[in-house]
Amino acid sequence: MFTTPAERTAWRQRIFGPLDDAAFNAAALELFAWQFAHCKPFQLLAKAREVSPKQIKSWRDIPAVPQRLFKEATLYSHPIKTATTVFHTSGTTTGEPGKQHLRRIDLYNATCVEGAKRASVLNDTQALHFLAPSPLAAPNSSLSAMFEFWREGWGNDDSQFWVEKGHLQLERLRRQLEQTVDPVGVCGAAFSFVHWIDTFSQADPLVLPEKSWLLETGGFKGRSREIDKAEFYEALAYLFGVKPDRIWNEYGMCELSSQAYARGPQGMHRTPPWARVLVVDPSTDREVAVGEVGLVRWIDLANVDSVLAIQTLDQAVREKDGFYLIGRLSQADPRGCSLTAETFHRA
Amino acid sequence: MTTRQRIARLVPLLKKFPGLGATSARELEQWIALELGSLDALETWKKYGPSQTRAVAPKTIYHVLAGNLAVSGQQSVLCGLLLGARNVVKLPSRGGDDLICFIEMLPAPLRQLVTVQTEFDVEALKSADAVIAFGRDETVAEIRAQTRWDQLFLGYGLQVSVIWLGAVKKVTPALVAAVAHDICIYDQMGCLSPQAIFLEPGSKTEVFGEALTEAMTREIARLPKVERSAEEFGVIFETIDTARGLGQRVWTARSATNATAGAVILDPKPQFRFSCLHRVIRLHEVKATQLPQALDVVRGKISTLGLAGKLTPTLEKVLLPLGVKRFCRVGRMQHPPISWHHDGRPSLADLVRWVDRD
Repeated sequence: MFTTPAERTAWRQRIFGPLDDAAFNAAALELFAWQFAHCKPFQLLAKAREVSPKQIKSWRDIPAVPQRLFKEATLYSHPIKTATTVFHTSGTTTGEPGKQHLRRIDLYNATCVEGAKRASVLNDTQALHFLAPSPLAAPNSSLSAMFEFWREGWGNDDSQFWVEKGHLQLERLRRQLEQTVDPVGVCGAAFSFVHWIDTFSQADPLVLPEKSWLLETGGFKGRSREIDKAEFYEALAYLFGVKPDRIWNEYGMCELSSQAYARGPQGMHRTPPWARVLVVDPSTDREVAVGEVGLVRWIDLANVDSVLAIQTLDQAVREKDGFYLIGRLSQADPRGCSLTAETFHRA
Repeated sequence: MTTRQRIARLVPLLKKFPGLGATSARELEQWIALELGSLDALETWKKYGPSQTRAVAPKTIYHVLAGNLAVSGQQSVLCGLLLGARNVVKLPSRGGDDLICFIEMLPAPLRQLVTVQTEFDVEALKSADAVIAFGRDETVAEIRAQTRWDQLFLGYGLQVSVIWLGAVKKVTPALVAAVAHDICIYDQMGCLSPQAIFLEPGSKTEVFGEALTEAMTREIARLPKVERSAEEFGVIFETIDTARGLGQRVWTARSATNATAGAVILDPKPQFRFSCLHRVIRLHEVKATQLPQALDVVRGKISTLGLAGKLTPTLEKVLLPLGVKRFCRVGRMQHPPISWHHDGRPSLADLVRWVDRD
């Protein structure tokens, strides 16, 4: 499975197609069985937790791999030499990056674009501006790769990456945006937008054409400057001349292939149909009730090359059809876009 | 108020707060005499070579306390009170309740010497004669940067403690009970709490790991229940599942409700790793001669080394260059005598200045 382009295309068509609960469950259990057989650390963890593919009937019972394990083991379900792409997490306090190995980039490409399209982030061909380095400059950044897929699929000729030689080109981007007459999308790590706020807080605000939008990803944990989300969106809306509900948050990580999106300062995150999030109580390992706080656990059917179930230390409030992301636990290693933006790698 | 009078007023608190490390007036008296040369060094002139000298306490001490363990803050305030200083205490943002309890229980004449603040007050810091700061190294450095050049500053940053058991050929109930106590009593939140255990290769390591976990379960049942936050559970299970994914042996200690309450991990790498704390500890097999390499990452940051046997000259030769500041038997790591040096320095003597006369 998942070795030939045809097998991967078939899987993509399966998970992108109609996916009711039963179909999701069947696909998840099938993928778990395959990864259990081929990914040694996943198998070791499952066995230690006395879980095997033959025993479980629900995707909810698939043991989740702690995100940290990506820093300490190779979580890859194929022979390691077959990996064609390796994404790195941003550095942490320990300085050891987590690595996501992909046999082929095809599924990541497809899920990045399809997920953003279904979330209505990408609607029309337009100029897309990225406060990130290009994939050529940052080949191990999953964020840069995702932005490049967006540019290829939905960006017009004015689209551009605005990090050169490790430096954000904010002045140049601003001049470009001042002249734009068509709607644009400006995307980047949250901390890159903080640089924008710090740089242009005293300047006249831009007035981007109607239907323009912004997309920020990650948070500020671990950095000296953290901003309340409402305040952050208010400042961005003012400085770019867009409505706050035209600002998106993307919640993803290098260890996953899918992303969740939330719109506006009070937006709830939703996953695409082929990925689900459980908000779990770490003391019981069970899903919390609606309205309660727990830790985010991903089940991502597109994450075929490593593991589909990942336990994060990100806190969220469970809702009926989504979740409100709170942020990373204070005891966890600083990770994510604060460091991402500084180092221009993807978390 | 004389030193003796202050001691008399503090004694009732010693029994209520056993973590302070002293239980009687005599112990406090001996400690002061040990550090200052005599019990009344603050009140009278003492012979000093051909001359005389007396100690003068700082008028005001500004304490910046960390939230990980209340006892370190209590000891800091105790030092100030013994010297008769006025104490301005900046409470930690979390975990200051036990310290407030200690301060509220002080008798009125001593309680008047303590002012509590919840916000960092630079002016109060700068106007103090001495500053004592606990916290992460970065925090301590930031506080130090705000002090006057002529201000006395005592900073206590990151320190860790470890256990060296040597060759464990027989796993005794006494040994595992002692180690379990050191791990469990303060939830590994202090600098004296062991974060890793080292044994000689060829030891009965797996037997020890299993027996230690059982001893931890017993110790946890004996100690007051710890209310765990979601954050703490999160990092505990992350650590356990990461070890499992690496194929490492993991034993879990249980609470009264049979929930996971701690873990022992057999880590094949002969190198120290920081624990996630909260009663999770790694076992490493390493030769005594290899300890410098195993502990290199915390060189200069080792507070206490717990030992199962005696401190041999060979071991001393290996460990002293690593900057170890205390050696003690396992089971006693968390209960040092109050007179033991703090991070290698005398707690009281470092706070006073000396006035000489002919």
